[in-house]
Amino acid sequence: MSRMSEAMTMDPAASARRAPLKAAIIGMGKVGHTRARVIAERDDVVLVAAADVNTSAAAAYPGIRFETDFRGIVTDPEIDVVFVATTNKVAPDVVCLALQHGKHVFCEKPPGRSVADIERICAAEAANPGCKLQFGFNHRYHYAVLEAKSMVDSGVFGKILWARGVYGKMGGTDFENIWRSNPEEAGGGILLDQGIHMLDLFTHFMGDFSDIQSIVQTMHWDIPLEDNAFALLKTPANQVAMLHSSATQWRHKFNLELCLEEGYITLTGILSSTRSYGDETLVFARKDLDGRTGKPGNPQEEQMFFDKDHSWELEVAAFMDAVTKDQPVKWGNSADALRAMKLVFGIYGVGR
Amino acid sequence: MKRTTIIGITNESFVHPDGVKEELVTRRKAAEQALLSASRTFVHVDCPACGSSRCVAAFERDGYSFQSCLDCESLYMSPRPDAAKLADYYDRSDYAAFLRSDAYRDATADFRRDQARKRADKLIVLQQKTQDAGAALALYAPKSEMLAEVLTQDGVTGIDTLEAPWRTREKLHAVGGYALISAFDIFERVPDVGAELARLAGMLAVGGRIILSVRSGSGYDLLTLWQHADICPVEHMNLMTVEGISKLMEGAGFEVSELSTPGQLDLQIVERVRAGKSLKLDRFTEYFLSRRDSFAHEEFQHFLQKSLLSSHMLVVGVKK
Repeated sequence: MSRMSEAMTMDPAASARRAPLKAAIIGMGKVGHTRARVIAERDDVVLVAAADVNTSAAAAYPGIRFETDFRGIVTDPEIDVVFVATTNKVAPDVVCLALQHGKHVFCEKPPGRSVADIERICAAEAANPGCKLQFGFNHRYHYAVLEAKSMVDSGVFGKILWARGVYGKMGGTDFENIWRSNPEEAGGGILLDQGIHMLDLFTHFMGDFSDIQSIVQTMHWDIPLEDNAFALLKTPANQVAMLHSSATQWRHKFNLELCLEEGYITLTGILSSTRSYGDETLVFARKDLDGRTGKPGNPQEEQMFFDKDHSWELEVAAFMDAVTKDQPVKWGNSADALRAMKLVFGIYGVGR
Repeated sequence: MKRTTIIGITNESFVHPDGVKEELVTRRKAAEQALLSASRTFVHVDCPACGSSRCVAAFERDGYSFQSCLDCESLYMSPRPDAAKLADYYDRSDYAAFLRSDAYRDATADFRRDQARKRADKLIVLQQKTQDAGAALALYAPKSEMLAEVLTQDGVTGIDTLEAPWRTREKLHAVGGYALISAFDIFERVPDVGAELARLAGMLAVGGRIILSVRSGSGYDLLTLWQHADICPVEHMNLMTVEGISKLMEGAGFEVSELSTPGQLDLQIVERVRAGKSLKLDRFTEYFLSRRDSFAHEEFQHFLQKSLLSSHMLVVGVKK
């Protein structure tokens, strides 16, 4: 039985007919290592270089060119594709330099520390139209999200009335000292770091938002960034999305509810390497006002659960498809990134 | 791999209303016996799921012999009637007439409407996923017209019906003509499972999907009750296990994208059969049924669903 679900399939064999593209990873932290693993599983791209200020990462990649300054690698004509997994401060410079040197670029979210950062990236992309640019909004490629997207797009339950998303972190013993809690490196707190995924999912399902109300606070941690953000967003069609992004959840938590005209879809948990966000499940039911399928107020539901997470693989597969087949980047393109960043900073602007 | 379970258990009486059940069973048994009179024409078969010839006699039920596959552990009838003989049972018997009667249809209308609604929802979402393969949809041997009605009400067009093996067959559609084929509650009944699945696979476009629901050979109800199981021999001649149907699908050129056992009735079936036949089952089942309440029963049923041990399977395959 195949490892992959029906939603998307990777087709490394088809792309393997041509010589593999040469890739570099800039930033070899946890996410950089994950990207390296995914690249190693593919036939259409090979990792040949990496850069990180911390040289200890080099030991895990013998035979790979390793440097502490990204510039030499990103400007090397031999490199075709650059994966950017740096801090938010550095990412825009890496992305722009790579695009200016004709590289295809995959950059982790968030795309910088400000709307100005992503706008600068968009300008570099426009100046180099032959380059593909994708951002790491990998939640779109989680199986539960893919399934929910098919259900919503099929129209089987009508249009979305409202959405409610909670994305929470435990924090941690060293939370106040990590780079994500440093305004100079991160540019924003929990909302920019993690809540941006939920905002991206809101736009994925509901489109653009025109009205924003919010409260953004530092409630507990001794950091100069927010550790909680609450937002109410409204689309021009009067659909409402409610977000709570928290670094004081005291456990990892992901929950997204979509209420539609004829039913509801609830996503709970999101599979990760540690499974700390719990099992990934999707529960749905059709509206049943007279209690035919269950008890009144408690309709019979169907629950899907997913025992594998291939979001990283599917996301890179989509990017490599765009590169090798010269197709537009479907999800996580610069327009998606700009939309998400405008929401983040719109929430900051209203709520602080 | 995706799996689906049901939260909130349907009562068995919703599926089989008491008002028509007795009449239904009486006529069905008469049809079974009538078919058995042609047993000299029955043919021996290998495992319908994995094709293995290695089997052991499992039990006899009302004159029909069931074998257990030594490789995939599917349970199947052998020897068995061919498609032509099954037409007597499904189309020309008093039992078939009763299934078509207003009395039966009215009594089961709520369940059939609910089931059709849920199946239509699944098909519409699957259509969304098969856009690259086109939009053509075929319903293979639907038990009633209600599913097509619901789909049509939802704006789905171009729905074809493919007849069961015991009916006059349609002209073979263009190879690769369909994006989606549904086969609900039929593969446990067809005399040659492999041939039928291959035929349907041939009608699907590459990337097209088949969704089938089928009574499971891995079900707790069957494995617990075994020779006393709540099966209708003719209608459950293929009780394929999870492992068996996986092999079958892969052998027919499908990638299995979902394999679930969302059956809801295992415990209700076991309880009913145990009471009706005054059975003494294994120590755990006896203790559980007599000492635990409906909450525990529902939790146990959910565990069965999640562990692929419930009475019905739902399988989605993508044509490679």
